[in-house]
Amino acid sequence: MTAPLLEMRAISKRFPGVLALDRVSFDLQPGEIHALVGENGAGKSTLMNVLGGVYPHGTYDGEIVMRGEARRFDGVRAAENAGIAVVHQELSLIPEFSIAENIFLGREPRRLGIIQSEDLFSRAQKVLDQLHLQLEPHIPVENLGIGQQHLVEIAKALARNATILVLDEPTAALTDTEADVLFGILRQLRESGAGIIYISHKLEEVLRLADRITVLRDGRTVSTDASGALDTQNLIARMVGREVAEIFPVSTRKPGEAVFEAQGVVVEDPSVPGKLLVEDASFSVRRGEVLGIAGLVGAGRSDLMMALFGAHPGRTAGKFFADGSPVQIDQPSDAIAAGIGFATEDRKRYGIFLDQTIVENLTLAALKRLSGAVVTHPDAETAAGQRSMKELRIKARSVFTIAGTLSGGNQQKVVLAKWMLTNPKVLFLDEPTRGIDVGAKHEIYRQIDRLAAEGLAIVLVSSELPEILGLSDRILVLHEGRITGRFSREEATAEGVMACATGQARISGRAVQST
Amino acid sequence: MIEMIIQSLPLAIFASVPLLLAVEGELVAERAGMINLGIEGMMLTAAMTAVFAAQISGSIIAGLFGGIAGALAVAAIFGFFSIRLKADQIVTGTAINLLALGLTGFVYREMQQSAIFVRSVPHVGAAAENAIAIVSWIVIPILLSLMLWMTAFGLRLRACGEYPRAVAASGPSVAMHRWAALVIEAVLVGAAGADLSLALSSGFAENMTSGRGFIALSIVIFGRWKTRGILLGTAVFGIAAALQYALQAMNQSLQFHLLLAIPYVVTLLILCGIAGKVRAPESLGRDA
Repeated sequence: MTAPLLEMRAISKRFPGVLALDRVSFDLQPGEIHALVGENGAGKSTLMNVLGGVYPHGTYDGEIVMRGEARRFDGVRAAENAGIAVVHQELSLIPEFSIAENIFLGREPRRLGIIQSEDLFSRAQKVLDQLHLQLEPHIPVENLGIGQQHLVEIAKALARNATILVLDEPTAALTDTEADVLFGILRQLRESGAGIIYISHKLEEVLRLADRITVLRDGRTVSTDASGALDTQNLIARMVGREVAEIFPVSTRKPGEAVFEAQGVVVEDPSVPGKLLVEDASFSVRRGEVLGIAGLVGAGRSDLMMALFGAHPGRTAGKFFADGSPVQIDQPSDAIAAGIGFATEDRKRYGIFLDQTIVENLTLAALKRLSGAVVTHPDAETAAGQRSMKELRIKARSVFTIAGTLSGGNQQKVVLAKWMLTNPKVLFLDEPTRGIDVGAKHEIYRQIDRLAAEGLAIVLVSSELPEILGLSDRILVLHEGRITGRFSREEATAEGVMACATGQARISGRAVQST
Repeated sequence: MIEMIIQSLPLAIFASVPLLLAVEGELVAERAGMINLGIEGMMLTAAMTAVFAAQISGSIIAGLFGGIAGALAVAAIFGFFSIRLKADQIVTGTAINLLALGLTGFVYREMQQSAIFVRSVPHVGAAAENAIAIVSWIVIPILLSLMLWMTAFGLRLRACGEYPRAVAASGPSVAMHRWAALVIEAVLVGAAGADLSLALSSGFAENMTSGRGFIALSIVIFGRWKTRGILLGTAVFGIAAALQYALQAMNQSLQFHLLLAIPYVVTLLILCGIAGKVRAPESLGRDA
């Protein structure tokens, strides 16, 4: 065997409070497609960011060796110059520029500063031909579909003579036909001796395409095997393979009548007309119940939540019922009036004003109720703020502490408390424990349990499977915008949920149907 | 009416040179992703420094360079805040306008008795005026078009206005390209200020740019960030402005205040008519 194209040896990467990568090793042979799989947060992106120079040398432990030579990248440029091209999910194309201009931006063929357009287009044509892409190099990128744009992005990476190509969820935006084109291209690149690192949640695809598959879990390498030795079942087992830790408080709850119901919710992608982010989702949630919504990133969980709250930028459809009677939800104020509270995924952007005090944050959503409609009553607000601080055990010196100075966990509690002040019947929690440390997570779990026990209906969206399994009375699983699984607490297993989340199975109750 | 338009053409061509130069400068800046609201203050500062340089040296050419130097100084302030410190471009530009208006007004009043402002400025000959018009209306637009649409530098500069991250990801420095665009703008706006105070008038007066910078900003939008468009836009405004003088001369019954508003109204109407079809550089006014 020749020297590996790439070896990453014992890479560790620490973020404040979290060990994101723990002595992960990974290698890539020339002419190989090596897939990297794992749950959200398993460390795949972090590992690729180390490789791509996003985290420069010195910010991680371990070493990167390319063809037997140790490399230290001080930035993205250095990694690119070494022949590593990372194609992110997010495109970096300029819509109004032509395909050729996009491919060669920064390295235009030129004489005395003048672009040699014939040369530019013929070289672009060559790259496109290599990839068997039937595209004219002079048409603007904005005229292409999103899938073709992704292929152009890959062409751009290849035009840099990359020897290592990293693809992060390349098929997420592609149709099946486009994905097939891509696979053809990748196999062909493999023939030419390039090394490809392929990150994907779509296990079938990975098994079909990759030569080897490495599974990451909680920042550690679980296994690296030839793909022939694996199937979806044991891949899933390796991805989730952990016990649901005993950190989830389970008080006995008695779910009552349904307080909120959604029927046939459809959400359209605002940027891609016709593409549905959520298709025909129906569910209800009862008093005193935690309904968990599981799914991989991009499955449409947040889109569903935003749509239910009247805050989705795309077109939505569906019927909503609060306490059995139909309600119209076109904007967040409608949702709040219907008794819905929503703690968003992106706390710092949508959930909290970091430069304002705790009390200002707390009373914001319930201002009309707590204070006057026109003039505010600071005393009433302060009193209400102090009550909630005590109730949710927010650790701060006073209600006048600036929210931005609190820890992530306490900020999240402020968000929870804010919605509790609106007296909601249903509370949507989207990734309530994202970015907060383990101890604070536990505290949030206790609050969720307490609120449910007091009769609140909670819809919990989380990327962390143990959280969903540990806290929910019932679980829905979304895959590519559709509900692919419904479980009761007793029926739910990590493997079952994961199988539905990756589209391997559709499960409703105990009836398992493989797709 | 047609006859009147034709008669007012020469005036339109010469009188709108400062506006045209400013429009050309702003086109480059906006293509690179910067909206320089401070262009008004830049032109006003240049008008004053041009007079200083011309009076001290006794040369029109020195005056031109004096104007450019003044505009470059203002560009340095704008660039320092908006490119280096990534401050909000609108806020920075507004502050520059207030600063320039106050500062030039102060200097002018303090030095009103000084020979620099009392003595008339060196005369710009008819041949020179023709040359200036040809350069502004023909030579510079061609050069700018070539630069923006034919060179690698122009491609990257436009990319900085569309999607700076893509530029950074492929190597070239966004800050460098934006600074370069700012320097080009300053040279053109500096020339505009010098033309205003030395060729069109015979010296400096308080707030003598009287909104030309702001008109320039809207003409760039009206011209849809294209060379042909901005030439057309400046021509429309210039002709309307010249026509307004002719109307004033022949029609005493109309309030001249109303006539003064004509060019603005005409430009505004045209702007409204095409507003829906306009597509600005994607990252105009945003950080790199």
